[in-house]
Amino acid sequence: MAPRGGYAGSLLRVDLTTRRIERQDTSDYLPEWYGGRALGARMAWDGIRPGTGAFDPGNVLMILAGPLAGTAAPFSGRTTVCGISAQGHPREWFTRSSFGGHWGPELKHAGFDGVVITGRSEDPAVLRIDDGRCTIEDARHLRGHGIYATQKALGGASGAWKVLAIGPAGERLSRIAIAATETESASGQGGFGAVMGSKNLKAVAVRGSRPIPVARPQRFAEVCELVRREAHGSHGWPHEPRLDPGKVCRYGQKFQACTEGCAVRCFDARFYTTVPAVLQRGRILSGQMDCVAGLFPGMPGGFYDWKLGFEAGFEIGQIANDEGLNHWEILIGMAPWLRYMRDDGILREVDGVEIDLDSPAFWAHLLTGISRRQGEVRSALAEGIVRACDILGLGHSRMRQLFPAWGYAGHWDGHGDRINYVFFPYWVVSAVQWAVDTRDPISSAHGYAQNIMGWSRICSPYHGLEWSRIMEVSARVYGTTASADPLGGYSGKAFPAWWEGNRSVMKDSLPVGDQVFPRIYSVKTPDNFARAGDMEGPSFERNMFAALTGMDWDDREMEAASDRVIQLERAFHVRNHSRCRADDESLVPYFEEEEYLVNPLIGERRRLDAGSFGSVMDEYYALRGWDRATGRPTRETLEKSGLGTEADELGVLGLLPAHGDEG
Amino acid sequence: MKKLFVNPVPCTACLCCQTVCALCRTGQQDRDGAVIRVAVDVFGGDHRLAWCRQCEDAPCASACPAGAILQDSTTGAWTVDRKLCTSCKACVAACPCGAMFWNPSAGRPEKCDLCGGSPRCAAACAFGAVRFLDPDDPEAGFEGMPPSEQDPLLGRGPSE
Repeated sequence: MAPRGGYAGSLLRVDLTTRRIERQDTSDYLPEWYGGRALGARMAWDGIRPGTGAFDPGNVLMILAGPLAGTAAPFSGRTTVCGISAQGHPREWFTRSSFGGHWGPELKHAGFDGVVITGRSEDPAVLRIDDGRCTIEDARHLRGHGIYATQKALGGASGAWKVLAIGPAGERLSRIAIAATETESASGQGGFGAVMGSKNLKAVAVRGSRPIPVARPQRFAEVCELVRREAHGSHGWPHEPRLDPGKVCRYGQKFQACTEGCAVRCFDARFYTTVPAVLQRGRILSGQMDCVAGLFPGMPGGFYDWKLGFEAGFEIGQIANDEGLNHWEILIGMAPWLRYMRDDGILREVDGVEIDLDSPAFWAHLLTGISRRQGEVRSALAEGIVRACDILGLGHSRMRQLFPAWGYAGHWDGHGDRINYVFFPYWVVSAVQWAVDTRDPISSAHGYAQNIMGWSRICSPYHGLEWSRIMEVSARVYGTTASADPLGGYSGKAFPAWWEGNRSVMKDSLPVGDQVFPRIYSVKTPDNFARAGDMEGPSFERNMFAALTGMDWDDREMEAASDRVIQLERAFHVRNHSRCRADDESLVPYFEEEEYLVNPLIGERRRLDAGSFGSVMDEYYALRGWDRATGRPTRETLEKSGLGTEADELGVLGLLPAHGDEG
Repeated sequence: MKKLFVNPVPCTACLCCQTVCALCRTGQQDRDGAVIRVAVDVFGGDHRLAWCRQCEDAPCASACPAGAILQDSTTGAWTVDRKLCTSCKACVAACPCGAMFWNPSAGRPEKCDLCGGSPRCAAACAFGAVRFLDPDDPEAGFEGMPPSEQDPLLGRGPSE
């Protein structure tokens, strides 16, 4: 059955070396590879040969909007970026990232489901996509421009053009460079800004007015409204955030969606219209401050204890955006690492300026120097902290406390990331998610730990649920109350990692917002299980997809399609990067450190027990159909997913497990 | 009779009102068919909305040489009779609110008809920025920003 709605119909393929522009029917990949990340996996297997590095012209940079983008589906505006990553470590893994704003929906209206870029332009170039037409424009005059100035120069100021751009950091191939649109929506993790830079691609500007077909408009409108009405507060949690009256008056603080279609007020997304600059005296700044950027001002008394204050913190955050640097790396990895270096007496200054995280001038020196690769230390830091340790020959032990694996700082893991509140045993699931991924996995996998913690009485004292109720509700999804039991230990932890892995693919492919989906818990139903109309919460996204496209997959088919993506991604990692179980478990020492919080029901800090974790990993491999010894998909598993040809290729390369020992 | 009232202050620029309007009026996601539109001010945060006030004196109807814009007695909405409309664009020029949208692909004006008395944009707004209220309702006191005359994103700009 072919989809009858949701897709613009074409993929745009651009070779910047030959300047050849081609159009490919999206239907070549449908319905199996149903959009976004799913499409990316397929095109990566077909198009990126083993040995291809992040900065090779042969790397394929894919910027992909899913079927729901540009429609009335709530929370559907994100765009997924795929390719060989610059940030990946110790290998430049194939991975994905995503960004919000309005770029993806605009691309759909311009007639394309994705842009697929290969090659390398001789001079800086801009892709301009105008309602079905694409041209490659000279961008030499934009060399060195910040992301904001680039957008404005390309028509982004009026909003008429939506522009995805890189800053100086991307141009100079910093592995922590972002590609971004508007004032705070970035493809942050992955270093895809540097991949764009390696292709000499300064920006992609899009404008469109074409309609997107809808298979069942009445049902689609009905489902969208039901899902929108069921939505709870920020992050899908039970309570709504409020504005800060002082910041409303002084800085024009207001709620603003970070992504088109987001229908909740968010704890993490604020726009400011009038913030006086501290470094650029006399200037009044405006812009969005989302997510981890809220840490720039510092949180005195806590782990992120620098004291920039709001005005300087906002300005530094905007500088990081404009220069094109990854906020998560800077705030969760780099700043604490620099503080450790200073306090441990290992590094007192950065290229002649004393490390002082309370000083706006130090931050500006640090960030602008990184993006422009000035000085020995900042040039090294531009490679990301993990590589900088090797280049500078220092700081490894502290780095290992902050960076679990793959070149990324911690995230919902109970150890390195200390802004997210999660304790044992919930971070065991995070550990599995981290283990089997190629990047920080949580960007599209908040559904387990964040949901449980957010719905608990600890994080939501007035509106949250008792542990017993959380266990009951979650058992409908995870199959056992042990999965969410605060005293459940290692029991029931593999299944949530498997299930949330599939949901992560759906979120990156349809797309739907990771902070809200999957919908599991509710304060609007007597049994606290999310429902709307004839739909159960975990089926919301599948119902929107079905009404939009006419693809009547049931939940199992949707899940199988998403599992297929993970199988192909894993096969790619095996073929191109020799991925195996030993790689997966290389993060065990990180989790063997003591957690930073205490589960109040346990009363003491816990560490990962490697033996118990090994059993959880065994279970996970069995659920995925991967060989327990090597962590690689078996022939049977690949064939079951319709990937027999891929299994043959791995077989010829000697990369299929010998015995097919599935768990 | 109830009308749409828009308060831009709580608007988060999520565009749900606009995408739902387009879907319900056109049966597809056709932006040209949307009759409530949000121009997102990316760098300044000063988003602008255009929507029909269902004016009592209806300058669009007065300007129409074909008498194609008539008031629905049940809903109070001014609606375009497409059989009578000659696509002369006089209504587009006459609307003081920038809310008579020219649809270039269909070659006709697009106007809010309040969805027959149950506007979907108001239902889609999670933030109370777009509401369907009786003008006597105290909540309706704030009619929002003045119309923007020359905003290309709202359908009345130089590109027309």
